[in-house]
Amino acid sequence: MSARHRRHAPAPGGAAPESIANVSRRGLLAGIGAGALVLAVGVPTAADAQQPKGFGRDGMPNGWRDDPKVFIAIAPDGTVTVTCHRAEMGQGVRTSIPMVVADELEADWSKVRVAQAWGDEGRFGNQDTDGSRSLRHFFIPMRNAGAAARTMLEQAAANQWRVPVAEVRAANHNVIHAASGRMLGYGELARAAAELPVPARETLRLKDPSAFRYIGKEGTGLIDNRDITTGKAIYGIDARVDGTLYAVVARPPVFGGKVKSVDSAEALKVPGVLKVVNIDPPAIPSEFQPLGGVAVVARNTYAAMKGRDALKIEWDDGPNASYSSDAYRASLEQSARKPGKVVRNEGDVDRAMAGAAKKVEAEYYIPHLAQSPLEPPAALVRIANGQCEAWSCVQSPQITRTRLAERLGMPEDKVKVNVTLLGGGFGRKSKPDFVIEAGLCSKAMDGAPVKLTWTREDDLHNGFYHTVSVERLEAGLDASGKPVAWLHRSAAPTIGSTFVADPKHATPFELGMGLVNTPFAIPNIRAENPEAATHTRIGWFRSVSNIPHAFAVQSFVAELAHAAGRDPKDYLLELIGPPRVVDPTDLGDVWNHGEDPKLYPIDTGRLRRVIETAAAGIGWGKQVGQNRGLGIAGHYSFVSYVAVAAEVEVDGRGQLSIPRVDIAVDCGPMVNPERVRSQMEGAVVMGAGLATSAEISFKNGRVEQNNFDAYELTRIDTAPREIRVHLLPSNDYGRPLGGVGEPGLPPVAPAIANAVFAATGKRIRQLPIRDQLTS
Amino acid sequence: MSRKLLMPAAGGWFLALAAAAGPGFASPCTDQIDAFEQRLDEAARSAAAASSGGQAVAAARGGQAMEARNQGDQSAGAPTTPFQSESREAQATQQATQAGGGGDRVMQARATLNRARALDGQGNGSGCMEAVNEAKRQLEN
Repeated sequence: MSARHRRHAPAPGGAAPESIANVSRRGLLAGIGAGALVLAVGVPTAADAQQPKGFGRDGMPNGWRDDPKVFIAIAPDGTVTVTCHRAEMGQGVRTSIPMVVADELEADWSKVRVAQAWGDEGRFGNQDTDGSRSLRHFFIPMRNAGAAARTMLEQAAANQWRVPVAEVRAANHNVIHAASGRMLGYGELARAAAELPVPARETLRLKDPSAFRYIGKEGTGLIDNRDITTGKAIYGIDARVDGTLYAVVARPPVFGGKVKSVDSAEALKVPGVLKVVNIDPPAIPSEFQPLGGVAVVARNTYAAMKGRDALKIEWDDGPNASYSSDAYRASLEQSARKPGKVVRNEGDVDRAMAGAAKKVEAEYYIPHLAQSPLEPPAALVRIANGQCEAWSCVQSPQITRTRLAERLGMPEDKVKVNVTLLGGGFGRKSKPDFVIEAGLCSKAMDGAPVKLTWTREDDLHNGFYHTVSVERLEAGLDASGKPVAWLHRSAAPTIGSTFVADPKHATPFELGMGLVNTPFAIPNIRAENPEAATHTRIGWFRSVSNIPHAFAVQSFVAELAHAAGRDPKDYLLELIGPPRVVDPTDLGDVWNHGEDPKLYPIDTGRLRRVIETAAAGIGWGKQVGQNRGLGIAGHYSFVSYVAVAAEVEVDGRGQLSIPRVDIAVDCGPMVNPERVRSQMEGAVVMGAGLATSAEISFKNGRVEQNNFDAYELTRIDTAPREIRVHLLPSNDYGRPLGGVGEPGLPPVAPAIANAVFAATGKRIRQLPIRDQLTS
Repeated sequence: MSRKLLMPAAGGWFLALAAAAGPGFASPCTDQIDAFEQRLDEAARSAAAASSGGQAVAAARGGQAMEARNQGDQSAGAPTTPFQSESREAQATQQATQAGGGGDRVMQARATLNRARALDGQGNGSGCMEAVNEAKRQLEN
């Protein structure tokens, strides 16, 4: 495949919007050649659109599609273009979805390219790229699409040769009639194939997995690799068109605040500054609406920033002006020390606790975090001739479209949202407040294209933060050190506050992330969710509530093992108990990632296997030398199983380093093992940062961290020096797929913290570790 | 502990857990527990189906369904977050609300029912019945 075909978009700086909007049908046509597009001509009928009716992909808004006319185009030269309707943020979905289609299509991978879908769930099905479910939900639909297109090509060839279709077969981008030795390429057949009806779903012949050429195979590189590594890839922050103006926004420093007064005279004197635009504050709950404030529109971003600096704004800080992390932590601790709403209960914890030979208790503190994608939020919007068009790095193009249309007072069908590459997302870019800001600025400039950029400081000061929590655990041990009672209280402000005013308790989906669904074989278990008020925007962050729950639970297990004088790995396996299959709803998990509990039960055997694999990988039990230690943690999330074994070293000055991490994952059948491996490696690096350095704190309602000097991500010297990923194989593609993007993260921090204890005897009960080892 | 919790299993801990599940006779409260558990199982499945696997949708529907249910509005008004056509999302949110306030009530009722089971195992029939009735109220009110 030529570089031209592999490119997802022309080089940055292209003047025509089409050069950015490679996702538009017009762009697609232009890219392939006029009149060449032969399959992608259909529009799904109402009958094609699957109505949400149940679990998994059936339960998602706007459901799913598998129409080949929506997802596959074949040009006369044989180039196959697969439209990817999920957002690419480094997880490799723009490669993995085409791999699935190409395999069923019997396409030659060198002739496959990818186009990015714009936001239109009516056409493409659900596009919210969250929940680690792109492949989980779209593996079968994409197989269907590929198989349907293959069937149409075979039928077209059979028609042309006037032979029964059963006598022909597709193979490697050709259709072959073996009896006569004839062969036609896909490019030659595409036009005729496009005129055939799409075969009924139930008639499709899906390939036997033993015949897969790409699915589950190693060696397929990221389709965007060349463009990314040569700087040609277009991210949201790169988007521009002719005549683009540039904007930044001064937002209230405190959530719920608003502008009391503004003097923009000096700002308007800054060379290049064109206009100052007021943005109204949102009602609470603010959902995905902008925070309000004052935008400065200029001829370039630098002028806009200088203009913003020159604004004289008096803020009304509103009801959260006193929000400070130290005091809030104390209130969470107070809450966690009292009985809370009971969300899981088995046996009689109080009675068992009273009769226990030994009681152990611990509290863990996990701070706010910021997603801080390396590409901060950015969007380009223009309004012309009654049409609004946006280009942005969004995980949720449909809700972006809806909210943009509402806020601009335009019909939704007059608004188009083009999705660029995302330079990281981690949940932040599910919330399109920044696109709406750009739209409001464009409207204020009579529709001129306005590129709105968040600085790193903006991103850290005005985010949708990962929750902060206090996790209190108590256990009663019998004389042999086995736990007979387990109490876990989790106090944390809820993401539900994004959508409802002043909720006090977590939503079921947060509790189903490692609180209620911990599959331990302990006869008396209780989980409680005490009250917690919300004082800032709480959003979902990669792996969400699994982060605090896994940190607390896996740290506490190690503490119990120590109290019992047992090996932590053996003790963890004993707590999980023998291999068994558990219905998550029996544990009180009423979310189960939206999946059918019968199809996706918790299999403790799989959890045990990843723990055993990670332990074997790192050589659990080996002598590691002075100042070194091993730690282990295993966690179930996003219907996948991951365990991490970490080796750390703490030198005489208390400096922590991580020589090695072994991570084992069982995510069921895999589409692209290379991507699974990458996601696990990325999770380890990110998790090391959460463990050692990352923290968002508030004082007087304001975030205290300004940039990466204070909000520290993993750096080269703190990253694990060696990461070994162990993929538990599964070739049974009849089994459901698990998640990959998020489940690697939760066990990383507790494994590191447990290793620190093994190395130093210092127990880590609050994150980040930072300077706890130097005191 | 729920009797369904442990399926295929082997090993000493399993045996200990099975023994902890309660006495080997059926009391009147046991029958009540079994009958109500079936309803809870259905409600739990409904909650899982209504919540969705996406974090955005699950948070929105869960939060709104909890709020609507806690305010006694079982019909749930129009959702604030139209992830799809307003009428369809309203229908989905209503389903989530009816599924025990996004599952919140199911979760609490399950915990209470398990408390009833423990009381039953301790031979505390009246305490068990009281807990069963509390679980029913949690799900239904």
